[in-house]
Amino acid sequence: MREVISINVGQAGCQIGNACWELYSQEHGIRPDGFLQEGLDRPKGGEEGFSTFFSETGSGKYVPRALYVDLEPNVIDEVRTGIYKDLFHPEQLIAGKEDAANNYARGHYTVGREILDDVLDRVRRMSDQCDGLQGFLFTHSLGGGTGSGLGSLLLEQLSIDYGKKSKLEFAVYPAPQVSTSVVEPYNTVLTTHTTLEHADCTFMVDNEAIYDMCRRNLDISRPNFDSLNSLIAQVVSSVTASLRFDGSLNVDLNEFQTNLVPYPRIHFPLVSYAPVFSKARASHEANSVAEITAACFEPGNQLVKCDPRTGKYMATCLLYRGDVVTRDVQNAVAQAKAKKTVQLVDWCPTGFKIGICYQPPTAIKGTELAAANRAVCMLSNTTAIAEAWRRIDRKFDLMYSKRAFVHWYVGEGMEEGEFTEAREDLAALERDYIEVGTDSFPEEEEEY
Amino acid sequence: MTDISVHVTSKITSSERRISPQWDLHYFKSRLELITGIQPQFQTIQYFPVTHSNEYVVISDAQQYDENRDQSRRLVEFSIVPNSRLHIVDTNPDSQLDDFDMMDDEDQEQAGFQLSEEDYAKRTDSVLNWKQTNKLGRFDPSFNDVKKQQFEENAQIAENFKVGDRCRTINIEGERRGVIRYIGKIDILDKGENIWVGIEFDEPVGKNNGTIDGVRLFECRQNHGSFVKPKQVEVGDFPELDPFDSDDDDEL
Repeated sequence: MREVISINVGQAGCQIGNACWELYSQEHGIRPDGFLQEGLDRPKGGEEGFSTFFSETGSGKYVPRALYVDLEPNVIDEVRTGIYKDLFHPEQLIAGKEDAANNYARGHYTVGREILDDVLDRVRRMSDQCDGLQGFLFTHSLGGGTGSGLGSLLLEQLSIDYGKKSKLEFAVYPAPQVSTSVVEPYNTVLTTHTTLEHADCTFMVDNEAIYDMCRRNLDISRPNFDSLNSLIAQVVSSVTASLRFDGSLNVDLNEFQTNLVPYPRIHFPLVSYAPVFSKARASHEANSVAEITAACFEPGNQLVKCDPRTGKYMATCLLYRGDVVTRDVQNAVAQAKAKKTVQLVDWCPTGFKIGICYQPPTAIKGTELAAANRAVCMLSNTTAIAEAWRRIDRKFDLMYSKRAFVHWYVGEGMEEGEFTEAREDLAALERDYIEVGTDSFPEEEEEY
Repeated sequence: MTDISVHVTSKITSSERRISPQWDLHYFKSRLELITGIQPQFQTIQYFPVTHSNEYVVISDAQQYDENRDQSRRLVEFSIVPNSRLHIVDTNPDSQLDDFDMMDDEDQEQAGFQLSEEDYAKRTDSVLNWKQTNKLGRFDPSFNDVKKQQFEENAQIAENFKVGDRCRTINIEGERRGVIRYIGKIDILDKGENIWVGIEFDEPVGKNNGTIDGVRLFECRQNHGSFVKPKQVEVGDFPELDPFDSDDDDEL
């Protein structure tokens, strides 16, 4: 058994968690009450795969290996009263009374600290039910208070308590154009600094990129959180599919790391997903392996806005699902590698790792994304993603040079030195990415 | 009464938020401050019932700010509907918020926090340190051998060229023809690491006019000049191409 415990923290984390578990349940043939859908005698996915994400109670009911944590009660109350209320054990839903008010310091030091023991206790109980815990999967946002503050606090603690177990994150990263709150750059820089040495692999998602995808490809004129999150869930599902379904070419959590992360700090692969089209357009799309693979190299299919043509690739994982044969994949990968815009780092080995899961994506009722007979999720460790850090670092500097709003953090017991320390660490991260991109052999085709 | 989802916008922020109709206006404003950075006494709240319409009503005007009155008013009074928009205007004349908006990226490139080369080099948990320790990249002796070999190959080819030779260069975009105007190292380009061939093309298909960063290496019209590696150049009887010769597939 290779169990994975999902931990959803804060409003964004919990809402993405909801979308994910709704999708996982449907993919495995589990009803909202935790029992098998009619006509099934066992969950879909194979014993080995399925049990990584669900546990089984004696009575034939299946329970997600998941924990919901939020400092304010409302979002979790909705899980408690929503259609999936019976799927979760009440112990899996932990809510405080007072929120973090968009403030990392409240999530990390004051309000968050109060429920920490409770959360760790439940994690402990959940891990006791596992035979061979593989690791943790976090979903949280970087820009808010709870996701950033409490999220990083938990990651730190899990490092202490569970040592070398893998910790992967899906993190909502601030959109490039508009901030969701004025202190978003502070929260993002602070939480990134804290988690940099604790998270093994962080998949970032920027809401603006998802928003654009919803509008352009799914014809949703004004996407809301629900539309964004259901698309994010499809991507998370693709990444985790190889863990949840027994299949021919599987990738486990450790393999992600070994293949994607050449050096521990460089652990922010860019995620791309294809195909994304609406039910109305579905019949007009050919959707071959070659097409969906090529689409992953288009900026419009990325979950973070940046320009990979300006960067160098260190490693790439292509996770296919559905009706896919190896030969088509090999051809598609050869084509991708031959692209002039795909530049590889040439001082360390770079690879294309392939995963295939035969279970096609599942379309969720009430969402726009059409069912496709095959899909691919590309995880590429490219230096282009450093653009995202540069943007947020500049925003941080604009405010910090005037010490704007710093008193909100100091008021929660944080020291100003933590701001500078975090900012310096992020500056070093920017340098790290530059250092990865240098030392190429001279390009023969250069022209000036 | 359950929470409702609304869009909260200000000049520099935009987000989807959950609000509770039971909240009083004073409390709501204190929350808005944490989102928008605008202090309660300077908040004018415009309510846009229909998101894609510009029609709005002011539900609270900063000019008539009264903390006690705000405390006695509940959001339910304003009948805010789900998915509507609340726009918060900053009426503070001394507000600094505009300064936090990202303006032209270029201007700020130098303004922010700078980590010096030395400080970066001191860090033990860095990619630089990793490369040094494991002899990767430029710290790998054989890396420099490959570079040297490339240099020598190019230098050898360049020996057969002379200024004034007709030549052509072919890349993914097609064939370009011209005359060699310069052969040699260019310090300003790559600290003299490579040998470069300066070409004056027959057509304006180059990158410059024979200068690099203001240093003139040869003379030609704008966009007729380029510098490429010797390996890319082929010398021989390559007369000017007739751009209107439709038989030439390369030109298509």
